[in-house]
Amino acid sequence: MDIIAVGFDQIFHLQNLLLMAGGLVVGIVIGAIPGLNVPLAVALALPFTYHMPPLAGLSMLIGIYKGGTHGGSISAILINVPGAPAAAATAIDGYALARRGKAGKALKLSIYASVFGEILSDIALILAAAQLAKIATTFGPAEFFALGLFALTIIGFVSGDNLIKGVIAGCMGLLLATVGMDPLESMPRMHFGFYELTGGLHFIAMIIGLFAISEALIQIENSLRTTASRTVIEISQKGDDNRVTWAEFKMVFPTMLRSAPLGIFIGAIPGIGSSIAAFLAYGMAKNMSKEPEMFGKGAIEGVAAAESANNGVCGATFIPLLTLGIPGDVITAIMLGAFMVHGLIPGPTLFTEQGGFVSAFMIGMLITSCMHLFVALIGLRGFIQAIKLKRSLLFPLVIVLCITGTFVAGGGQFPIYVMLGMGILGYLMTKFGFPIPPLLIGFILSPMIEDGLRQALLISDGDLAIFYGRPIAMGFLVMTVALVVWITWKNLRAQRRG
Amino acid sequence: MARIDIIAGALLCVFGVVIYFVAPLTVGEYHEVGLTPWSFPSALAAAIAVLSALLCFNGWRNRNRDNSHGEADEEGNSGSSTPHIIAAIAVMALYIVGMPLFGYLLATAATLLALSIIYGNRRWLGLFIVAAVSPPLLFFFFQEVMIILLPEASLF
Repeated sequence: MDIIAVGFDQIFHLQNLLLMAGGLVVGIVIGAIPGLNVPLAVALALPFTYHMPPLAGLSMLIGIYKGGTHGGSISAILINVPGAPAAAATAIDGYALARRGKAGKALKLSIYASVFGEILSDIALILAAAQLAKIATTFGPAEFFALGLFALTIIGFVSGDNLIKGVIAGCMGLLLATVGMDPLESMPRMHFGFYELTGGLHFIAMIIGLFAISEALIQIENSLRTTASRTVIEISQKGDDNRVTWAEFKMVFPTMLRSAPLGIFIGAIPGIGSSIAAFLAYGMAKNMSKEPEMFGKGAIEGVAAAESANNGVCGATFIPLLTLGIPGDVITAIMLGAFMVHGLIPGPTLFTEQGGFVSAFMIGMLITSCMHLFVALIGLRGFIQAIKLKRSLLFPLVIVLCITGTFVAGGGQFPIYVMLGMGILGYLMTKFGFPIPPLLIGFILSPMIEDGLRQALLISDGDLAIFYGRPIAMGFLVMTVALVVWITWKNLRAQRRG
Repeated sequence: MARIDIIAGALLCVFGVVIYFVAPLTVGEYHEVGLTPWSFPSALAAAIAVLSALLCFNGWRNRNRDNSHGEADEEGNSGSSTPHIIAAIAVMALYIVGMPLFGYLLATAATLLALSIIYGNRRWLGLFIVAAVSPPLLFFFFQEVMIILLPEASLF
């Protein structure tokens, strides 16, 4: 109970609460603008948190994450263009409702469903994380090596159509992380004569380059290709079309109650992501509905299912992140970086050494979800205007913010060059069909794998039995092999069919 | 895509082979206990080389399967924007170099103007307003709110 009191004491500061609200606003706005996405928003905000206390900075990033995940539904409903991939399922019925003059109803329902999913997900995080962390405290180097390898299999899920390219990108990430000091010998390596690289690649510069600068470069092509502005459906002023009635809420509540746990389950498993959660929940809602024929034509259950599932993922993705130190998706990989930037290493030791912080962070997640309801409802009309912002106005500002942010966080010119280099690399990767997320996941997991492997071999004097003689390590290795075989088989089958 | 795979695979294969041989040379003195500091980078470089060769081979195998018309279209689209991309990268590089020389305010305003033009913005009034208003706002936010010093002009 003491730890909970400490958590409340740490989180209830005006600065933290304001940053949560600010993060939500930024997240919803960026989520609502097609072309801007949540990883870009979190990457862009990361340097701003550099000079803040850890809890304050992370509170803001959580706000952006949650707001951005929901913000995608605004453009999905009003212009049929999902602001985030996870909002694609929302667009199916949300846009149909908007075309029938019920845009206000769809938007408000998406807010209620998102917040409901988030709150359940936060509660799941609070209940599950401490228990899982207790198990993880028994881990040694062999277990961490095996866990790192297991976590690398996420690459198989985020690689898109070409598994080989995904694995190459993952290896590149693992390789880039070896630039700097050798973790065991503390000897500089892979710096190629650049003194600035002996400390490793600047993480913030790398994130901003890969996710924000590369996206800004890609958007140059898009802004040259599309000049037509989209028509935004206006919100009706009629009472019942503009709100969710009590009868409608009672009707969709069971759907939300089924969809949010599905999102939580999927969020807790690394690599699957909110898009799949939203579509699975949508399909489940359609199968269980009394009026399945209404789906696709403006069923409010469709909006509720997709939104509660995709936001249900948010809290749950922090279960593997906080307890084991493994990211579940791109956003949590960036968040993991944000923890590390502030000197916090997610994993079981975070719970034993920084119990107060973990408690405050989890309470903060819950507060952010509650705040989300009010921020989204109050600012709804303003957020709709964000869709009308032009790329040609927005992206120059994004680039300037990227460079300024990297300068602020990196404290010099060199990190900005790293950022630019990474931006070009990210752009070329996209053009050549290489996915960027595996590179980041490899970069994040590299120290865990290398340290675990080398420490374990030192302890065992080079005897590999240390890996298969310990049940948890062996369990992870067996799961890794099984997943690799399954992913490869699935990929080969898809190639033969395609 | 097959042609792209062949080119990307070949380039990455060469990269992997080079890093495989160069990695040991980048490490100074170390105690030879267990794995060496270059074992992990070398193993990864070898993996990249092998996988890239496989990518190259797959591309070569599928070279006839691709719809050559579609590929030409795709290349045509990206080709037309290449000068804009190069110009944007050049503007960013100039901004990084120019910031300490001309100061944050002037360099940012000029960069915003140049980038907006590259992005196809031709509404000159709006463009100048954004270029004039945004840099002082950012400068104020960082200097006064975040208390972080931004570069001042060293030329004047």
